[in-house]
Amino acid sequence: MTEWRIEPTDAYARAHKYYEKKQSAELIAVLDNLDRYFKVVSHGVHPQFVVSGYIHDEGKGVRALDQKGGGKGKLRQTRLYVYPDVDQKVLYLITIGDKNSQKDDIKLSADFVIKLKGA
Amino acid sequence: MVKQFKNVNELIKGISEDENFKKDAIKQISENGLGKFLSFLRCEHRMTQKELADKMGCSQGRVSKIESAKDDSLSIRDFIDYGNALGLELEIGFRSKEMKWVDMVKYHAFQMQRYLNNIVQVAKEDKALEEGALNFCFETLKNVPILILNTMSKLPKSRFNKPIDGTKGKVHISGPIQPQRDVNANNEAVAS
Repeated sequence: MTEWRIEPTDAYARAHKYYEKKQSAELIAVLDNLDRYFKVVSHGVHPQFVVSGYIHDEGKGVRALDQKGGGKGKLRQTRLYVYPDVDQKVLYLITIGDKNSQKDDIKLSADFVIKLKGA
Repeated sequence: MVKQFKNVNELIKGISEDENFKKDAIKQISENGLGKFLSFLRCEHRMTQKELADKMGCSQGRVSKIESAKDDSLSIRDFIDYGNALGLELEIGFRSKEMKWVDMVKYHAFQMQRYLNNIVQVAKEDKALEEGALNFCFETLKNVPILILNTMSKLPKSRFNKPIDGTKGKVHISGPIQPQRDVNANNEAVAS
């Protein structure tokens, strides 16, 4: 029985490094929600049954894990786009973005899934 | 080369550059493990925060707050209410900080025996229950070795290099096959 793994794409790795330097508090907040999501999935709950306020379906199986902003430091709304591949038990981290990049991020994520499934 | 990570902490250590960021991120992420566990229980029961809130008699915002709260701000009351809504009882326990994984295995082995003894005790003097208890003991006797063999198969030098699927294969755990009447006699002897 294989265990779930996390696989960051190159686009995610670039975004991670950018956020680490420019918006580290936002990055930590979305990583916290990633940890929350991954713990549930890796303990055997099917991704489709992981439902919470911070999770948004973006089509083609892509899910956006957000942190709403607010709080003490008034964080900017940030979203982490992921794709849980149930067959391979791999959670792909596609990219991170904000409200301004939302449209492009969703398109990038959909293209990623199409390419992944076609491969 | 494609890099994969077992968990979020490994991911942070693997792709972040700043040591202070790594430390801060890992610290903050580990501060709300209990809320994450409650969130897991809710999802395992296939419930939304709203559905759980209705059962708890509170708002969805309250459930969301419990699930994202830091460990030190949760109360026993939160756990009891959350458990009640999921049909679960809260169990609290302590264990020695010195306890190792092997000690845990031994502890649970003895716990298993304790529970089996409880089943046998309850079944006493009721033929049907005794039969059921005996069957359950045999089932346990078959399944527990399968679990252990599956674990052993993960060791690199293991002779059991293929996982054993309990639903397909059969593990022979008794001695030579006996005529049916002897098996029954043995069963009665064990049950009495």
